[in-house]
Order: sequence, then structure tokens, then C-alpha cells
Amino acid sequence: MNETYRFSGSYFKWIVRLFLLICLVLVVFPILWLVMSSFKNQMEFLADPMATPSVWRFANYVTAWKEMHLSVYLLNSLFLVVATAALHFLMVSTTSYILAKIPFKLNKGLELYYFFAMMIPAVLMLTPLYFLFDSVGFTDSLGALVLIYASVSLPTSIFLVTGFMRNINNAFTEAAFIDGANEFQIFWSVILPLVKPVLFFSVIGNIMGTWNEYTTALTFISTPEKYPVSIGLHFMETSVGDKGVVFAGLVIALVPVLVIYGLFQKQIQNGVSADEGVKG
Amino acid sequence: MKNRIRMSRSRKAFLWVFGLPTFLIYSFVCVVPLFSSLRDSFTEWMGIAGTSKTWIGLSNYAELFRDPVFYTALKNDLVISFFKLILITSLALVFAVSLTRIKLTRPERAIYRYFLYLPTVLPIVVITIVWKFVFEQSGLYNTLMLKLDGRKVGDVVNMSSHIANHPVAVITFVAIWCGIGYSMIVLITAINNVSNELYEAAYLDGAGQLGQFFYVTLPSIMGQVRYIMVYIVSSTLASNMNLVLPMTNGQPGNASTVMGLYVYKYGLTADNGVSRVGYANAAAVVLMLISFILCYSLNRLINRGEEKKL
Repeated sequence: MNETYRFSGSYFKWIVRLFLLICLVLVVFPILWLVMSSFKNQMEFLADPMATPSVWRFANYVTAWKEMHLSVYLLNSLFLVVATAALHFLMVSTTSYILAKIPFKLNKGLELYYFFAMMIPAVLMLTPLYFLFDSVGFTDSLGALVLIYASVSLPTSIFLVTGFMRNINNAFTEAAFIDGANEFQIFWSVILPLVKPVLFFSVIGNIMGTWNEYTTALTFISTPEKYPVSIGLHFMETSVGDKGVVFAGLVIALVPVLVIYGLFQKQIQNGVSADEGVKG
Repeated sequence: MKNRIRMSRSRKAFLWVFGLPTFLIYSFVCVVPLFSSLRDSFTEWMGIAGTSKTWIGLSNYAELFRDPVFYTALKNDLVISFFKLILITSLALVFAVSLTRIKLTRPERAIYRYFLYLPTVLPIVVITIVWKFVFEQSGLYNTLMLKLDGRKVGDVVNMSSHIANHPVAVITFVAIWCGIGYSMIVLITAINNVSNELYEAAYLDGAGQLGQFFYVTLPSIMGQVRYIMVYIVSSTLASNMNLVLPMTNGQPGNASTVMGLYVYKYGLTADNGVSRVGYANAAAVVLMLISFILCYSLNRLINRGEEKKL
């Protein structure tokens, strides 16, 4: 609907297209190369990184799956992602609502308290965090990781979501209040639908963070059966000599990411423009 | 009117039921460690439960500022942050504007948006392993250069490993490669939220495309631009090591180490002999202060720039 005032000068448009295309190649090429290399054996891998494999060795995948226990790691990661996302969503949405829409004495102070940690490099908290959890005997547990993963990105998420909630005209909540809605109903059926896109975005960010994270997991998890996939890959790279098998493992670990991304991408694209009604 | 100001019972319940648990978890994970870190930074402790911490005052800090590796780490962090800040902000802006304000076909927009964001969701371990093999001596990059040059693949032995020779540049490149997506989406969302009437008005006032960008798009999304700029710096200082650890582990020597890795190695590994929790915490505290000062002044700087324009 915004089409009329968009730029359509053809000369400039083709420069933009060329630039975008170069960037696209930079993104796609390494991934295609990864997939191609996953079918090679060690010899072929070293001989010429750009040559196609002589035989497509699907056995690399079987080796990676069986010997590397990737199935176990994937399940651990799945649990982490689901539990963390649920907790993160709950904490971000309710606390942002409290900060944006509930005026009480300590509101401003609480807001500062939450934003305070935004400036603190999370990874640097790792040492004290580990020994804090150690002192209450809560290490080598996926539960500990869920608590940490759901909390470390709280300040940035709350910052973002609170901002969007503030933009919502109070007339919306007042109307619901006058109609007799209680606080939770106002939060759930008036505010949440309006900030769904940005909230969804913060949850997605959290999901990707959880899936990618490995330094904390490396520190906290010592039992191999509890390794998330990132740690599994980390040890695989150093312990497996055949790089074809290593790359096959990487591709296996990529597939769920691409599937999840495919699903979320659609929802992101439908979602981001949905809050246009709020601003007017 | 009074109803709105008085706390209803359901409002109080909401505050306690949802506010308190988050407050406690956040405090335990994000705030308490900060203070224990501060306290431990004045002690010497090997991290073994049951052993006592010895109070040694400012010795850890004094030792830190005498260690040349600390300055290498700090310099690398600042260099990587600087280039990420400049390049990610400008590239994300270019991508976001291209995918919203330029008349591309719908499938084109969808494809670019899909793939330009893709690196953000790839597991960081996958990213680092792949790029490591790209920039190795016999890696993809050198091979590609040889082939473009028309030389034999075997000549690769005469070429240098980029990961060994300019590790910081390689790390910066990879960090930008997988760091753009988030900022790009934030800006696309922001631009899509700009009212079309503003463009209409600017158009009627005779503003060209460039004018529309500078007088409508940019001022409308300045809040989000500021957000991503501060986000890039703070997240780089916070999570640089997640990239550096699998990529180079600070090597060769300590040439590519960063502050996070420095802290990690002293606090949680025995790479430097024994685990030295107090010393690691001192380094962590210093980095926290640096990060805080940097983000604060960046925010001030952008704010001032904006006020001047008005």
C-alpha cells in the first residue's frame, strides 16, 4: 500500500540489486560449500576444497549420527529451547506490562533496575554465576541453563517490549477497565495482541540465543548425556579426524535450525506490520 | 478518573504473581553475581568449594594493569566493536531501506529478507567451524583466489593462513556476517511503521527520494537506530568470546584474545596454570566499567547529535 512513494528509478535500483545479490552470495555460498563438503572423505577434503566429491558419501551422516550421539544432543537442545522460550515469554510480557501500564510507587526504580544489567556483559558474569550456582549445588543440570538463558536477555527484551507497550494509547486499557475487565484480562486480550510482533521477535531472539549458546553450557554441563547440540559439535570438531564426518554433523545440526527458521520466518513476516493500528 | 489511579485488587495480584518471580530470578542470575564478582575481585581464590578466600585488596587490579595480554584483549575488543558498530549499522540501514523503500518485486524482497537474516539463526559453532575452514591456509578462500588467478591448487602451500595472520580481521568479518540480521529486522519493522502520510506530505513538499530518506525515514526510526547501535557495542563486549573461543581460542599466542576470553580462561579453566577466580573477577569488573562507560557515552553522543539537528 506504500507503493506510490517508493523509489522506482531504474538506474539506482539495479545498483541496489547488484549489491544485494553480492551479499546473498556471501551468505549462501559457505552454506552450500558446507553441504557439499559433508559428502567428501578426508583425502578429497584436503586435496581441493572446491571440487565436488567423487562419490556422495551418505555414510558420513550415519557415522555422525551414530558415533557422535547427535540424536541425544538434539533432544537436549530441543528441551532447552522450549522451556527457555516459555519462561522468557512469561517474564518479558508480564514485566513489560507492569513497567509500561501499571503506575506504582517503585515503577521507575524497577525499570532502572531491569535496564541496569543491560550494560553488563553477560559472559563476564559467567565466573561468579557458575560459583553462585555451585554454592547451591545447581550445576550440571539443564534446568540451571533454562534459568540462565531465560534471564540473560531480559533487559534488552524488556527494554524493547516496554517501549512498544508505552506507545499503546491508554484509551484501550481504560475502555477495557470500564467494561469490567480485570488486570490479567486487559494484559492478555488487549495489550498482548497489540505487541505480539515485537514480543514474538524477542522470543525468537531468545530461541536462537539458546540454540547457539555454548560457552555457558560448556561451563555448566559436564555429563556428556546432557550436552546440548552446540557442545556436542564443539567436541566433535576436536575429536573427529575425518572432516567430511564433522561437516555431516554440522549439516545434521543445521536442519532443525532451518526448519524452525522457515516456520518462524513466515510468522515474523506476517507479524511485523500488524501493530500499525496502534500508532494512529 | 480516581478508579484508574487507585490500585484495583486484580492489579495488585498481577503485580505480585507475575512481577515478583521474575524479579527474584533476574536478581539471582543477573544482579547477585555482579556483587559477588565485585567482592571476589579483591580476593585470591582457586574456586574450590570449601576453601577460603584470601583478601588481598587491590593486588588483582594492579596485576591486571601490568599484564600486556590484558591490553591486547582490550584493544581487540575495541577494534572489533568499532568496525561492527560502523559496518553493521550502515549495512543494516542499507538492507532495511532497500527492502522497504525501493520498488523491488515481492519475491525478491522475500528472498533477500530470508537469506540476509539467515546467518543470525545459524548455530555459532557451525559458523565458526565453517569460516575457519574457509580462511585456513588450504581453505576455500585461498583455493578460490588461486583458481581466479589461473594457478594450480597445489600452490596453496605458498599462501598464508588468514586465520593465523590476521585473526582479528577474520573474527570481525565473521562477527559482522552473522550480526547484521537482527539489526536489519529491527529497522525493517521500524520503517514499516512509519506513516505513509509523512511520505505523502514530503512528496507534495517536493522532497525527492533522498529527501524522503533524510527528512522522513531516518528521523522516524532514529530511536531504533540508537537502540541497535548501543546493542551492537554492548553485545560485542558481552559475547565476543563466544566467537573467538571456537574460532582461534585467542591464538596465535594471545594475538586474537578478547576480554571475555581472558576472564574465562582465568576464572573457569586451568589454561594459565590454576583457576584464579579473584583475578578473573577483577578483569570482569574492569570490562563491565568499560562497557558501561562506552554505552553511556555512545548514547549521549547520539542524543546530542539529534538535538543539534532539531
